[in-house]
Amino acid sequence: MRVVYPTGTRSTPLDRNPSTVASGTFLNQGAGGSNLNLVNYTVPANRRADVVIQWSSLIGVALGAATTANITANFTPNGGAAQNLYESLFLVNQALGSRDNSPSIHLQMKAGDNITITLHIDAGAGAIQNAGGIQGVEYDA
Amino acid sequence: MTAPEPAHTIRDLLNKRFGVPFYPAFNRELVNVPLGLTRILRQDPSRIAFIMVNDGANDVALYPLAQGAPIRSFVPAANGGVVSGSWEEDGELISTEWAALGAATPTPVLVLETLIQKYLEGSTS
Repeated sequence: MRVVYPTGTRSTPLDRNPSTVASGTFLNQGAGGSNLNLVNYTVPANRRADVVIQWSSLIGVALGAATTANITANFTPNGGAAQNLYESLFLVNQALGSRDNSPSIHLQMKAGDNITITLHIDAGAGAIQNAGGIQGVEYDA
Repeated sequence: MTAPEPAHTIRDLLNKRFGVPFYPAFNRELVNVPLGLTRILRQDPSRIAFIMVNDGANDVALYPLAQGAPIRSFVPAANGGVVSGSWEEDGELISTEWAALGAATPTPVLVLETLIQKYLEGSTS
Protein backbone atom coordinates (compact mmCIF):
# COMPACT_ATOMS: atom_id res chain seq x y z
CA MET A 1 0.00 0.00 0.00
CA ARG A 2 1.10 3.54 -0.61
CA VAL A 3 -0.10 6.49 1.43
CA VAL A 4 0.55 9.99 0.17
CA TYR A 5 -0.08 13.17 2.11
CA PRO A 6 -0.99 16.43 0.42
CA THR A 7 1.81 18.95 0.24
CA GLY A 8 1.39 22.07 2.26
CA THR A 9 -1.51 20.80 4.31
CA ARG A 10 -0.84 19.90 7.91
CA SER A 11 2.65 18.72 6.97
CA THR A 12 4.07 21.05 9.60
CA PRO A 13 2.21 22.61 12.52
CA LEU A 14 2.53 26.15 11.21
CA ASP A 15 0.79 25.08 7.98
CA ARG A 16 -2.43 24.44 9.84
CA ASN A 17 -4.71 27.32 8.94
CA PRO A 18 -2.28 29.98 10.12
CA SER A 19 -3.20 33.55 11.00
CA THR A 20 -1.06 36.45 12.18
CA VAL A 21 -1.10 37.64 15.76
CA ALA A 22 -0.08 41.30 15.90
CA SER A 23 -1.17 43.67 18.63
CA GLY A 24 0.45 46.59 20.37
CA THR A 25 0.26 50.28 21.03
CA PHE A 26 1.89 53.31 22.61
CA LEU A 27 0.83 54.35 26.09
CA ASN A 28 1.51 57.46 28.14
CA GLN A 29 0.22 57.45 31.68
CA GLY A 30 0.59 60.02 34.47
CA ALA A 31 0.89 59.32 38.18
CA GLY A 32 -2.26 57.89 39.71
CA GLY A 33 -3.72 56.86 36.39
CA SER A 34 -5.44 53.54 35.93
CA ASN A 35 -3.60 50.41 34.87
CA LEU A 36 -3.37 50.07 31.11
CA ASN A 37 -2.88 46.96 29.00
CA LEU A 38 -0.38 47.13 26.20
CA VAL A 39 -1.37 43.57 25.21
CA ASN A 40 -4.12 41.22 26.37
CA TYR A 41 -4.13 38.12 24.18
CA THR A 42 -5.78 34.74 24.78
CA VAL A 43 -5.32 31.78 22.42
CA PRO A 44 -8.77 30.78 21.06
CA ALA A 45 -10.20 27.27 21.46
CA ASN A 46 -8.64 24.59 19.24
CA ARG A 47 -5.70 26.84 18.35
CA ARG A 48 -2.07 27.22 19.34
CA ALA A 49 0.21 30.20 19.02
CA ASP A 50 3.90 30.84 18.57
CA VAL A 51 4.53 34.48 19.47
CA VAL A 52 7.10 36.99 20.67
CA ILE A 53 6.49 39.90 23.04
CA GLN A 54 8.70 42.93 23.61
CA TRP A 55 8.37 46.50 24.79
CA SER A 56 10.32 49.60 25.67
CA SER A 57 9.57 52.01 28.48
CA LEU A 58 10.68 55.54 29.33
CA ILE A 59 10.16 57.93 32.21
CA GLY A 60 8.57 60.99 30.58
CA VAL A 61 8.23 63.00 33.80
CA ALA A 62 10.50 62.27 36.77
CA LEU A 63 8.82 60.13 39.40
CA GLY A 64 7.98 61.64 42.78
CA ALA A 65 9.35 60.61 46.16
CA ALA A 66 6.50 58.15 46.71
CA THR A 67 5.84 57.04 43.16
CA THR A 68 7.00 53.81 41.51
CA ALA A 69 6.00 52.50 38.10
CA ASN A 70 6.19 49.17 36.42
CA ILE A 71 5.37 47.41 33.19
CA THR A 72 4.76 43.72 33.76
CA ALA A 73 4.27 40.74 31.45
CA ASN A 74 2.07 38.07 33.02
CA PHE A 75 1.58 34.68 31.43
CA THR A 76 -1.42 32.69 32.66
CA PRO A 77 -1.59 29.10 31.40
CA ASN A 78 -5.10 27.75 30.84
CA GLY A 79 -6.30 26.61 34.25
CA GLY A 80 -3.10 27.67 36.01
CA ALA A 81 -1.76 30.59 37.99
CA ALA A 82 -0.30 33.75 36.50
CA GLN A 83 3.47 33.82 36.08
CA ASN A 84 5.47 37.01 35.92
CA LEU A 85 7.74 36.78 32.88
CA TYR A 86 9.46 40.14 33.09
CA GLU A 87 9.02 43.48 34.85
CA SER A 88 10.34 46.91 33.96
CA LEU A 89 10.47 48.49 37.41
CA PHE A 90 11.13 52.18 38.07
CA LEU A 91 11.69 53.11 41.70
CA VAL A 92 10.93 56.38 43.45
CA ASN A 93 12.60 59.57 42.19
CA GLN A 94 13.50 57.89 38.87
CA ALA A 95 14.92 60.61 36.63
CA LEU A 96 13.46 61.92 33.40
CA GLY A 97 14.70 59.88 30.48
CA SER A 98 15.29 56.66 32.40
CA ARG A 99 14.67 53.65 30.15
CA ASP A 100 14.16 49.94 30.26
CA ASN A 101 13.72 47.62 27.30
CA SER A 102 12.39 44.14 27.82
CA PRO A 103 14.08 41.20 26.14
CA SER A 104 12.34 39.60 23.23
CA ILE A 105 10.36 36.81 24.91
CA HIS A 106 9.34 33.79 22.84
CA LEU A 107 6.12 32.07 23.91
CA GLN A 108 4.59 28.82 22.69
CA MET A 109 0.98 28.96 23.85
CA LYS A 110 -1.94 26.54 23.86
CA ALA A 111 -5.69 27.17 23.78
CA GLY A 112 -6.83 29.31 26.70
CA ASP A 113 -3.36 30.57 27.62
CA ASN A 114 -3.27 34.32 28.20
CA ILE A 115 -0.53 36.93 28.03
CA THR A 116 -0.89 40.50 29.27
CA ILE A 117 1.54 43.38 29.35
CA THR A 118 0.26 45.88 31.89
CA LEU A 119 1.43 49.37 32.78
CA HIS A 120 1.02 50.63 36.35
CA ILE A 121 2.07 53.89 37.97
CA ASP A 122 1.43 54.90 41.58
CA ALA A 123 -0.21 58.12 42.63
CA GLY A 124 2.07 61.07 43.30
CA ALA A 125 4.12 62.65 40.57
CA GLY A 126 5.60 61.56 37.25
CA ALA A 127 4.63 59.92 33.99
CA ILE A 128 5.74 56.87 32.04
CA GLN A 129 5.66 55.98 28.37
CA ASN A 130 5.47 52.45 27.03
CA ALA A 131 5.53 51.03 23.49
CA GLY A 132 5.54 47.47 22.22
CA GLY A 133 3.32 44.47 21.78
CA ILE A 134 2.98 40.94 20.55
CA GLN A 135 3.68 39.40 17.16
CA GLY A 136 3.54 35.84 15.91
CA VAL A 137 1.43 33.14 14.32
CA GLU A 138 -1.65 31.24 15.45
CA TYR A 139 -2.57 27.84 14.00
CA ASP A 140 -4.90 24.87 14.44
CA ALA A 141 -4.08 22.62 17.36
CA MET B 1 4.79 -13.92 -43.77
CA THR B 2 1.56 -12.79 -42.14
CA ALA B 3 0.55 -9.24 -41.45
CA PRO B 4 0.73 -8.19 -37.77
CA GLU B 5 -2.56 -8.01 -35.89
CA PRO B 6 -3.70 -4.43 -35.81
CA ALA B 7 -4.21 -2.67 -32.47
CA HIS B 8 -6.78 0.09 -32.69
CA THR B 9 -7.59 0.69 -29.07
CA ILE B 10 -6.07 0.62 -25.62
CA ARG B 11 -8.15 -2.49 -25.03
CA ASP B 12 -6.39 -4.19 -27.97
CA LEU B 13 -3.03 -3.31 -26.43
CA LEU B 14 -4.09 -4.59 -23.00
CA ASN B 15 -5.24 -7.84 -24.55
CA LYS B 16 -1.92 -8.24 -26.34
CA ARG B 17 0.24 -7.48 -23.32
CA PHE B 18 -1.74 -9.06 -20.47
CA GLY B 19 -4.09 -11.43 -22.20
CA VAL B 20 -7.03 -9.72 -20.52
CA PRO B 21 -8.40 -6.18 -20.65
CA PHE B 22 -9.05 -4.13 -17.55
CA TYR B 23 -11.03 -0.94 -17.12
CA PRO B 24 -11.58 1.81 -14.56
CA ALA B 25 -14.64 2.13 -12.33
CA PHE B 26 -15.33 5.24 -10.27
CA ASN B 27 -17.06 5.52 -6.89
CA ARG B 28 -19.01 2.28 -7.21
CA GLU B 29 -20.01 2.25 -3.54
CA LEU B 30 -20.17 5.85 -2.37
CA VAL B 31 -19.11 9.40 -3.19
CA ASN B 32 -19.11 10.77 0.36
CA VAL B 33 -17.70 9.00 3.40
CA PRO B 34 -20.20 9.32 6.27
CA LEU B 35 -19.52 9.51 9.99
CA GLY B 36 -20.29 5.82 10.49
CA LEU B 37 -18.16 2.93 9.26
CA THR B 38 -19.37 2.19 5.71
CA ARG B 39 -18.25 -0.09 2.88
CA ILE B 40 -16.20 1.80 0.31
CA LEU B 41 -14.84 -1.16 -1.73
CA ARG B 42 -16.85 -4.34 -2.12
CA GLN B 43 -15.14 -7.70 -2.14
CA ASP B 44 -14.29 -8.24 -5.81
CA PRO B 45 -11.65 -10.69 -7.09
CA SER B 46 -11.56 -8.88 -10.43
CA ARG B 47 -10.19 -5.72 -8.79
CA ILE B 48 -6.43 -5.50 -9.35
CA ALA B 49 -5.76 -1.97 -8.06
CA PHE B 50 -7.45 0.98 -6.45
CA ILE B 51 -6.79 4.58 -5.59
CA MET B 52 -8.72 6.52 -2.98
CA VAL B 53 -8.33 10.32 -2.82
CA ASN B 54 -9.71 12.34 0.07
CA ASP B 55 -11.14 15.52 -1.49
CA GLY B 56 -12.73 16.68 1.74
CA ALA B 57 -11.64 18.95 4.55
CA ASN B 58 -11.58 16.15 7.13
CA ASP B 59 -9.39 13.12 7.60
CA VAL B 60 -10.79 9.74 6.59
CA ALA B 61 -9.99 6.36 8.13
CA LEU B 62 -9.73 3.50 5.62
CA TYR B 63 -10.06 -0.03 6.98
CA PRO B 64 -9.11 -3.27 5.23
CA LEU B 65 -11.71 -5.59 6.72
CA ALA B 66 -9.64 -8.73 6.24
CA GLN B 67 -7.79 -7.98 9.49
CA GLY B 68 -8.76 -9.43 12.84
CA ALA B 69 -10.17 -7.35 15.70
CA PRO B 70 -9.49 -4.69 16.74
CA ILE B 71 -9.51 -3.20 13.28
CA ARG B 72 -7.03 -0.45 12.44
CA SER B 73 -6.97 1.98 9.58
CA PHE B 74 -4.93 3.87 7.06
CA VAL B 75 -5.58 7.63 7.26
CA PRO B 76 -5.76 9.51 3.97
CA ALA B 77 -5.36 13.09 5.18
CA ALA B 78 -7.78 15.93 4.49
CA ASN B 79 -7.45 18.03 1.34
CA GLY B 80 -5.86 15.48 -0.98
CA GLY B 81 -4.48 12.54 0.94
CA VAL B 82 -4.19 9.37 -1.15
CA VAL B 83 -4.10 5.64 -0.41
CA SER B 84 -3.39 3.32 -3.31
CA GLY B 85 -2.61 -0.34 -3.78
CA SER B 86 -2.14 -2.87 -6.54
CA TRP B 87 -2.17 -6.65 -6.75
CA GLU B 88 1.50 -6.78 -7.73
CA GLU B 89 2.58 -5.29 -4.39
CA ASP B 90 -0.25 -6.30 -2.09
CA GLY B 91 -1.73 -9.48 -3.53
CA GLU B 92 -5.26 -10.49 -2.54
CA LEU B 93 -5.57 -7.67 -0.01
CA ILE B 94 -6.64 -5.53 -2.96
CA SER B 95 -9.67 -7.67 -3.76
CA THR B 96 -11.00 -7.85 -0.19
CA GLU B 97 -13.70 -5.64 1.27
CA TRP B 98 -12.70 -2.22 2.64
CA ALA B 99 -14.65 0.23 4.77
CA ALA B 100 -14.21 3.90 5.58
CA LEU B 101 -15.11 6.31 8.33
CA GLY B 102 -15.15 10.12 8.14
CA ALA B 103 -13.68 12.26 10.92
CA ALA B 104 -16.51 14.81 10.68
CA THR B 105 -19.25 15.71 8.22
CA PRO B 106 -19.67 13.56 5.05
CA THR B 107 -16.35 13.76 3.24
CA PRO B 108 -16.19 13.67 -0.58
CA VAL B 109 -13.81 11.08 -2.00
CA LEU B 110 -12.67 9.80 -5.35
CA VAL B 111 -12.50 6.02 -5.44
CA LEU B 112 -10.97 4.58 -8.59
CA GLU B 113 -10.87 0.81 -9.05
CA THR B 114 -9.14 -1.04 -11.85
CA LEU B 115 -11.15 -4.12 -12.76
CA ILE B 116 -10.47 -7.06 -15.02
CA GLN B 117 -13.02 -7.27 -17.80
CA LYS B 118 -14.58 -10.69 -17.59
CA TYR B 119 -14.47 -12.61 -20.83
CA LEU B 120 -17.78 -12.90 -22.57
CA GLU B 121 -18.36 -15.76 -24.95
CA GLY B 122 -18.44 -14.39 -28.46
CA SER B 123 -16.75 -11.17 -27.52
CA THR B 124 -14.55 -9.81 -30.25
CA SER B 125 -12.50 -7.46 -28.10
